[in-house]
Amino acid sequence: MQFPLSLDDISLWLAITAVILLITSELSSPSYGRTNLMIEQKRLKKAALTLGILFMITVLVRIYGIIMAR
Amino acid sequence: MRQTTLVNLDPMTQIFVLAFIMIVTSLGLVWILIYRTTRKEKPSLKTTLRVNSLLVARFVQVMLICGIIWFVAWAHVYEVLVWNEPFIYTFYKSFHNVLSYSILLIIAVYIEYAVRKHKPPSPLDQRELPQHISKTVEKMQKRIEQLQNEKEALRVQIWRYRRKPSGLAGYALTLVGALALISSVIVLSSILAFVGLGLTFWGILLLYIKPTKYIRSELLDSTAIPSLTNIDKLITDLEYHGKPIYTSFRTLKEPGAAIVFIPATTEEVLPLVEEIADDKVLLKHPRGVRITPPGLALASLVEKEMGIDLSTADLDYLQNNLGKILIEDLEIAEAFEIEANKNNIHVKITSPVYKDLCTEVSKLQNISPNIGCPLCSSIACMLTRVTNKPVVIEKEEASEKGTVIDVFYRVVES
Repeated sequence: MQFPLSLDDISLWLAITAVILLITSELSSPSYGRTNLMIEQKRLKKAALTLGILFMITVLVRIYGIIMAR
Repeated sequence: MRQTTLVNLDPMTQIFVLAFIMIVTSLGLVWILIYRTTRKEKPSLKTTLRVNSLLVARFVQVMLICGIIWFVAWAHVYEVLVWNEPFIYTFYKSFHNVLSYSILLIIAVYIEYAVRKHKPPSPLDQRELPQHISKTVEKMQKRIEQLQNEKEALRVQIWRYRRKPSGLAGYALTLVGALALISSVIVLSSILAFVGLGLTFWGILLLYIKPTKYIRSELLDSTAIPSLTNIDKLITDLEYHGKPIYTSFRTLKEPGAAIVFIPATTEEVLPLVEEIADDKVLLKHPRGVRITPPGLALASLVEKEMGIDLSTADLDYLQNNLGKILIEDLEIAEAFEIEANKNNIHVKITSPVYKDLCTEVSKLQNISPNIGCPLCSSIACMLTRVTNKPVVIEKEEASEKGTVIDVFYRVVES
């Protein structure tokens, strides 16, 4: 038994999810007057940023792998 | 091991997977179409279904159309694209699929016919009327229809504002996602892994971003109004006619806290520091009453969010930071502007959460505009703290719907 997704798959998934969340958190920001949304805006932003950072980490791991392979 | 995709699964598993997706989608649609949009005071599902029989019929039609698309896809698209069969030949080869979608199509058409037949006609449709009257009737019918649509839209909007966020969706998504993830490891399917990863993540996210505490603004208003009414009655009974002055004293037990002093006469005078320090309510030199501002707690909250002692800050700092705190952090208003012109300060607040409260408070003659609603009062408290000078509320203007509030403050030069 092994997990069927590779690092590249997860990286792609992270990228797409991070982009969706970052756009959502920005568009639902109270700066644009969206003050009646009953969600924790700060937490949404935090989750979006965390996913973005995780994606960057997977990219760095990939770059490191390419460099080490040479 | 060869990776599992939907195409190379055996037909029974395909049917199982797709049936599962269809059931989940159907439940979601039932919830969105019927339960969420029609709920007023939590009626039973049976009542909802009976009342919304038309919606149910439409929903069944949608499901039938989904089924038709599904069978058409397997009967024709799949055969032509995957097996390169001629289109005409697919009718023969996938006869069962063709039969299935034909039956579904006939049922969908019959439902449409039944819905149209049983739609109650308007009593006016059954009578023959003179031409000029029938035109007016037509216009009125259109108007009634338009108003009904507007009413329905408003009802849905009100319900959306009133509904309480639930964690049920989050838990359901997490559970289904976890099951999909476990299955993906067992059958080594990347599709299931993606589905599971997505569902688990969104389930956890829904639970994470769910507000920890939710209070309706009506509740907030109803708790604040009685105390403001009491202050109004107290001032009326005392027959004090002076303009309330917001001021802060460093000698108070709570250093820098703001108070409102209402002088007995129309003269703009400040109380003696000694009397304030004694924590008295009715003051004698000069005669007047000292009350705690309705917005003091809110001002303290803003100060806490800012992370600074306002008595050490200046007006520029308040101008640059107050908007951000009120809009982004506390989400009290949609827009906020503050302009200072010498001793006059103009504040414009758009769509504050205290909108209804401000409208109610405006009916209290002694409170509005002199003492102000909790929001205006809190700004006065902050202004007196940053300027270290007394502040009075000169004017408070609200737009017709109360969405924009203009407040004019004056810093009193002692």
